[in-house]
Amino acid sequence: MSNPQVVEVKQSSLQKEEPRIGVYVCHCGLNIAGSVDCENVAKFAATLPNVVISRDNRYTCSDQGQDLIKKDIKEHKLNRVVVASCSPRLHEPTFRRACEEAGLNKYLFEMANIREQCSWVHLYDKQDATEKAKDLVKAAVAKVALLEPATESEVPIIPKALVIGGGVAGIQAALDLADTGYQVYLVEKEPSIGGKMAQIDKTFPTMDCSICILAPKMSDAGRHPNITLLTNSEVQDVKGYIGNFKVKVLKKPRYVTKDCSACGDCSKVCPVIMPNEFDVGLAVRHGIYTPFAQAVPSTYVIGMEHCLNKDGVLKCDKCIKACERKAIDFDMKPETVELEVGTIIVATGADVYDPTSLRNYGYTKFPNVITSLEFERLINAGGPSGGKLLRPSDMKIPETVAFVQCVGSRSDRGHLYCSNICCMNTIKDALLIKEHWPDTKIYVFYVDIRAFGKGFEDLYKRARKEGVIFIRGLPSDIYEERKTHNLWLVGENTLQNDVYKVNVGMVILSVGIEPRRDSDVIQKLLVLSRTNDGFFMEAHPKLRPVDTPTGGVFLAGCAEGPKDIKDSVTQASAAAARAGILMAKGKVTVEAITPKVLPENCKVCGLCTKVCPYNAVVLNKDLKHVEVIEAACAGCGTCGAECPFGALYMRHFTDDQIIAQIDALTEHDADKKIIAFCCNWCAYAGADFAGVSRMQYPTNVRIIRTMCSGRVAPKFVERAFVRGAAAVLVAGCHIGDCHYINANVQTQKRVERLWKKMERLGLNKERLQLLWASAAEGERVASKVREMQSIVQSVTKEEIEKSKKMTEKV
Amino acid sequence: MSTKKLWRKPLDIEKFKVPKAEICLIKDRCKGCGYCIQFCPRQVLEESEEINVRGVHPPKVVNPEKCTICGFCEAICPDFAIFVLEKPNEKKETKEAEKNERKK
Amino acid sequence: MAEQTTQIAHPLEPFLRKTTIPHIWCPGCGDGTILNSFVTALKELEVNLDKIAVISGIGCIGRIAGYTNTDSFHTTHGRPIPFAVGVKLANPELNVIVISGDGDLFAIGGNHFIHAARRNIGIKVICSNNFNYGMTGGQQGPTTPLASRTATTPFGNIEHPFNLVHLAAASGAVYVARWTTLHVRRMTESIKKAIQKEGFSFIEIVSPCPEIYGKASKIGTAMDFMNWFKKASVIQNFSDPAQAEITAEKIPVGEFVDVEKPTFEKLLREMTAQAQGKVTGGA
Repeated sequence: MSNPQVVEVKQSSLQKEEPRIGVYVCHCGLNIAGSVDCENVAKFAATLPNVVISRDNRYTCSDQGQDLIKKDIKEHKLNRVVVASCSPRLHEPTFRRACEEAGLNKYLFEMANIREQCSWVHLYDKQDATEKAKDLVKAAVAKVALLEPATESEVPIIPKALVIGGGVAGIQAALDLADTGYQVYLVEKEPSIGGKMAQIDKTFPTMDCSICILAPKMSDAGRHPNITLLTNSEVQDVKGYIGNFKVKVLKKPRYVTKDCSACGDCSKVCPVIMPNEFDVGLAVRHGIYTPFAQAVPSTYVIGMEHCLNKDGVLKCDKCIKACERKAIDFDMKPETVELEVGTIIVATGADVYDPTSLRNYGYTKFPNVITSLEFERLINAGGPSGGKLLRPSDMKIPETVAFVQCVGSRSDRGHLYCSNICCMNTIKDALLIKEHWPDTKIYVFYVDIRAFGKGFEDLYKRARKEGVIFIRGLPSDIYEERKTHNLWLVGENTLQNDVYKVNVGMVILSVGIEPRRDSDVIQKLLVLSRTNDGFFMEAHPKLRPVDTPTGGVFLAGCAEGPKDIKDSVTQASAAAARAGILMAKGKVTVEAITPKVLPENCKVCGLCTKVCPYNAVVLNKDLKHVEVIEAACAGCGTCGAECPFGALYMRHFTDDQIIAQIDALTEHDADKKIIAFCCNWCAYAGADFAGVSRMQYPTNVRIIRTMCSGRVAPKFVERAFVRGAAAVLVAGCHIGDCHYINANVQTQKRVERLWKKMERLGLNKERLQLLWASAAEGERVASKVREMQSIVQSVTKEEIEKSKKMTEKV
Repeated sequence: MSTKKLWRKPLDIEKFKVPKAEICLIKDRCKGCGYCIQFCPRQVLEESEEINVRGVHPPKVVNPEKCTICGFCEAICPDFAIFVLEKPNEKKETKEAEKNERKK
Repeated sequence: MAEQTTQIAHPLEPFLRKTTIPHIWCPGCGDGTILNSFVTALKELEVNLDKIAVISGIGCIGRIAGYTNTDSFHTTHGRPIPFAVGVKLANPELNVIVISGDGDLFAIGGNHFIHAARRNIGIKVICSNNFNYGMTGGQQGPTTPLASRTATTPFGNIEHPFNLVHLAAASGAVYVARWTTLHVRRMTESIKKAIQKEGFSFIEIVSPCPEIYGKASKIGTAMDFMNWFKKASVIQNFSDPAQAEITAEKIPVGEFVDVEKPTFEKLLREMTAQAQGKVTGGA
């Protein structure tokens, strides 16, 4: 499935022409000029090799400033540009565009961050700040001289989408995409779509009948010309990359053909009877059945595990004889279909917490302790008890009930997170009971009542008005009276500082939502990450809540985290819109920072293929070297850092370019400096944030930016020490939060190996520090730099001399 | 739908009545091939101790309440020695479902 | 539940000749199951028994003509098909069914088979294939597997067996199916289909022969045969008959061919009517 992008890169062709560099030092009003002598820096820059013109100006990013750069490019025939100003995270795209408009390839541009990481953090030290700015400009000039022009490649996107999961989120996403005009495949594991919403009786806060509002959507999805429904099917394999996924789906046999008219004659004669999954075991179904009355598709299905014909020999043919339309086919075999899609939406939903392990609540021991899902089925008019809330022990309606909140949520005996819906669900349930049996005494034992959404507080008020008794304090134990099967709940009423002992006829445990037990399968297939809670991780919790780090794959519904129906539907429409953007564009451009393979150096060791978080580097046994699937590559650079043979040329962040930066920064007074490697997304952004917040720290740190801390090869650290640097800091995202899924795990391994090497060489390993800091943790970065001062000061001349041995093999 | 084990006794299990079976044996025709005993999906039959005129052990009914009147014994018997009828107007309660629950 | 021998008659009694039942076949013999399936098919179709003719050849299966309560004929070795063709052409309204064995139909009777199939004469042929000549002591036959030990191949069979469904399909049969005696219900359905279909229909039924072939080939008892059927059968409806050989590991079963073609008797009628019309000068 590779997209071979093997280009024979000859080293000699790299530097065809002499670099002609233009340097622009920005005052940014007084933001930079206030603590950095910009004129001085510009004069200094003019003395650097290959610099043809060097200017300082007030606002380089303004129209005037940009026009100046464009004019200079044309007049002075500049083929490289350096702007020393703010953070590249802010204005790199602006200046790149300016270069392009002047006819200069946008990858021949570099920035020196002399604001967020210089002038703003060294407000009171003008001399040292100016020296630092000079160093940073020197490093930028050294790198820019080695940059090469590059064109971004385009990958076409197939205008078809796959939605995995047929609950309300999956249905909504499928409908939105189909209405936009795209072909959608909706794959659902169960024989019918509908998910958990079909099992619920009423929804909060409007008390709408759940299946009544869901069924029309299910029908639409089943009938839509652009939606292909694949029920009773599971995704087996996913290969490919954004815009070009090849998906294998296994269609499990229903043993009933499309001729089925759902008349039910077969069910009536089927001798196999068993508990029904839809009714959570509270009702019975036959071996041949329809999952529920409003199932889409309405075709019946045979549960082969319990059918009398399960070994393949037709023993019982009652259903065949009963079916007038001859729709039953015991010879159906599982079928694998291959789909080609451009985008994938994961809407696999969630499971319900099983409170059996909470022994003190007595679930499965005491028949009248039920879960909230079982409650939904009991109170549902179409359910096993015809809508009567019957106690399983004696089929009578209880006079007193108790709801216990936070079962399996907000607890270390279960899950630590809050399951979002249980408070409102209980309030809704309590009101339902009051509606049918107004004299019922209802207790709700809670920790907090979370009624945060629209109309939620009103519903809570209504419940209190109706006389529902809310007691703050979960029962510590539930006991059963053996004869009556009534239950005693004992606990502390924390608001009244008292112990309660309450007798009820039925206890409803408000169980939480947990991630699907089989989500590993989807996770591995789609290279997704999961948060600590076990739900799938979004690309950014605030700004990209439905994207995943994997391009082309989106999330919707409870697969991403517990939420109610409104939020699931909202997210589903959002995911459909995001997927629609990609498919409408028709193509995706890949930033030209992906690696190129140098086949003559490749020894086919396979180390790079093991560290790539996106499986974008693959071994091609025929060609006898690795290949990079450009569209799947995110540009982290971890593969390049891993390769011992120099077979991967990491465009725009090459070994030579980074070493040039290190050399430039350690040319003078290296023994007083900290060389820091910061990752673009977290540590560098964190340092920027420190600048924005005007946190002050010592001036002797020099930051080199890479996209990911995984790009930092051991040889860079060694080089810095060999050049005499006092200390080195490697900084990246927190483990588990890596922007490139898990590339920073490699960083940790490499730093640990470097520490071991330093110990063996007799060096002070404190001189190499490892920091995990997020983009919001500016203070963490600042304090680390302050902390490292003592290490810098303690470094002796002998230590520096000894460090020159770092590159030796030990 | 949860994939966990379903442990409850369904509330409507009393309502489900499956026809009661009458298993008829013509013992002297039986040649003892054993097909009906082996292939019954519910293990309703077992080899008996008695000997018929042919010198073989015909089957005996051991679990009549489990019989679902699928009729496979009747269909596969080479000797027309066994057949199943539905007892008219008598329906039994399904202990099936309970056994299924315990099996799961 | 009846522990005693029941007084109620077996539901299939009306289809069997009272004087001949119980039959003489061995315990577990496939022929018994075939008889059961066949008369069940007759019962489910609610056919008029006077319109059914059962013709059999020589072999254990040949005795079936004497057990069914229909007009039957037990012919000489290899000749049930020509006899059946005669019956059918003389009285096309009859549903003529040939039930015979592998040796009878495909060794001595081979030539009759392929031409009746080629001509698409509307007879139904059910072959009980037990891989040998059972009645006469277990000699090697046209369907005996390669290397099998039989009475006449003590060192192993050096002949390749026929793939009967391939032969039937290639000869032009309009309905070809194979089942084992384990697949009783599907076998009954196939028989019903064949009876109702116009044209030459062939159903091969792989049968246990526990006393003769089972002992010689070391397959074993009747139950061992059934276990082999259970393990090795693979339902492959409408797969290529040429690939449907029976091996120890795999018995491809299912319906292989189900097409429509004008039958011999229909074309004969039309041609006769046409020719007679010309002679008399009528319309």
